[in-house]
Amino acid sequence: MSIEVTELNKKLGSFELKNINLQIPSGYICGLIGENGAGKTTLLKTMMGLYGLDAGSVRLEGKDLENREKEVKNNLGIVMEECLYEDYLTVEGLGKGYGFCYTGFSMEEYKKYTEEFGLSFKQKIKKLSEGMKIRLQFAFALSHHPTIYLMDEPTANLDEEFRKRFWEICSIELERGATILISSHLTEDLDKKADYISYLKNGELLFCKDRERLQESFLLVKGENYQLRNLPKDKVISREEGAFGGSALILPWNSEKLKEYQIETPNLRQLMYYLAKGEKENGTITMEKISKR
Amino acid sequence: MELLLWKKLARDKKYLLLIWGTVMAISILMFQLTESIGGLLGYAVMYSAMVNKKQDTVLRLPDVFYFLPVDAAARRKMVGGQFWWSCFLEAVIHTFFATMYLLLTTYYIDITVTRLYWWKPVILFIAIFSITHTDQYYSFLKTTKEGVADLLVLLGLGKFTVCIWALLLPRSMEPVYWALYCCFALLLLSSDIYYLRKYGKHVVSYYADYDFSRELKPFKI
Repeated sequence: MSIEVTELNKKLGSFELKNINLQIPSGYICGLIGENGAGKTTLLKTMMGLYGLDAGSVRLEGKDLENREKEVKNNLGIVMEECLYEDYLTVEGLGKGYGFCYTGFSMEEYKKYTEEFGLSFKQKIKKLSEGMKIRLQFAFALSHHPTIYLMDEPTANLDEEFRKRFWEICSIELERGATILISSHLTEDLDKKADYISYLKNGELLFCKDRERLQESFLLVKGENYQLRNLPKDKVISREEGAFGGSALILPWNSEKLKEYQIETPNLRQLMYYLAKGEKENGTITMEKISKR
Repeated sequence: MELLLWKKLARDKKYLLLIWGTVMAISILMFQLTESIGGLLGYAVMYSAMVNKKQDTVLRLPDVFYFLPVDAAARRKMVGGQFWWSCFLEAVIHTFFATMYLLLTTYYIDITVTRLYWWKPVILFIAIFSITHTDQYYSFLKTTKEGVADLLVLLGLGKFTVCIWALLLPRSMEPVYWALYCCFALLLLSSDIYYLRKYGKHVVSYYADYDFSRELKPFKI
């Protein structure tokens, strides 16, 4: 396994990450999804060593983060929504100042990527827009050839053109054998790109599943409101009724009855929406249903 | 200038002012020296603590130090540079403050025995401005989101000294300067009370559980 998180616990004020277990094999991309405040950034920051662990372990490429900090971090490429580099540095200063810390860093490649991403070498980080800061971090990460990328909402502030390029480069990195853990609100990207999906809710990892299998684990059924009400309760995650009919996320089962409905495979956005709705309406029952799948 | 004033006070037999001025001058120097040494010790503890602390602690280095592939030894080396820079700044800042305090003392005494010249309020303004060093104070609180590690040092007992000092001012000072001084003292006190209320509890609870001996152990600069 490239990324192995075992029984990770971390308390930050009133928020807590509880017993997080996550395994991602090499060469795959895992999307970390969840509502605002679910703990995505906290989990990523803990995995990159910004927060100390209260309990559990983080092993990256088989090496323990606590005991082999330097080796582990040398293989980590980091792109955060909030740029963590000191903002008084210039683009060039970042490469010169911190590049030497990484054994695989290449200043030539850094220069090449920054040019390609439209960054001026003499520009100060604090003068860059949020999208440009993401580009800068991405360029820096690519230039030291990490085997694991930890990214927090990297595509949120990117324009369409660069977002496309971002995913192209990610594909190349995956082919090279790198592993990517990426948190994103933009589930449309993850719908197409992610191999695994991890869903965080209130500091708990509800599941980490193969995306295709995950989507096959649920069905989105559409029909008249009365039809939706007739669905067996133990199969319904949540339901939404409208003036002209409604839809419901259900657990599939072999039944002729389903032929009465219009059936779709839910996308991640729909999954997130109905899972959260189900959780609000039914509490733990929904979680039990999901865990069993 | 100070020596001339002292001689003048002795000649005019203004012994009370002479004693007051001397005590103030000594206390200013002692205070600056103590604050300087205290500050340096504070930095020593703080920097050593920061080497191994993570982002979720009050004492910490900039975030970048914790995700770069550097170990504690390398962090300590980086921090070492910052420590000596802080030492230098402490020395410069406190020498400057001591000079300004002395000028201020001299001025207050001078004003009671000689005429008021136009340049004296200028000195007063510079001295007051230097004592407040509010910009440094605010930028510190702004940059460290929850960081108030050396709040007590920054609160600067000097501010309270200045306020108490106001009570000791010569009565012959003109009302306009009294008013100015009182406003200044009130401003300082209110800012201190504001920050103490905002961060004081956090600092006290933090230091109550803090193991200084453990933190000082790995500190080898």
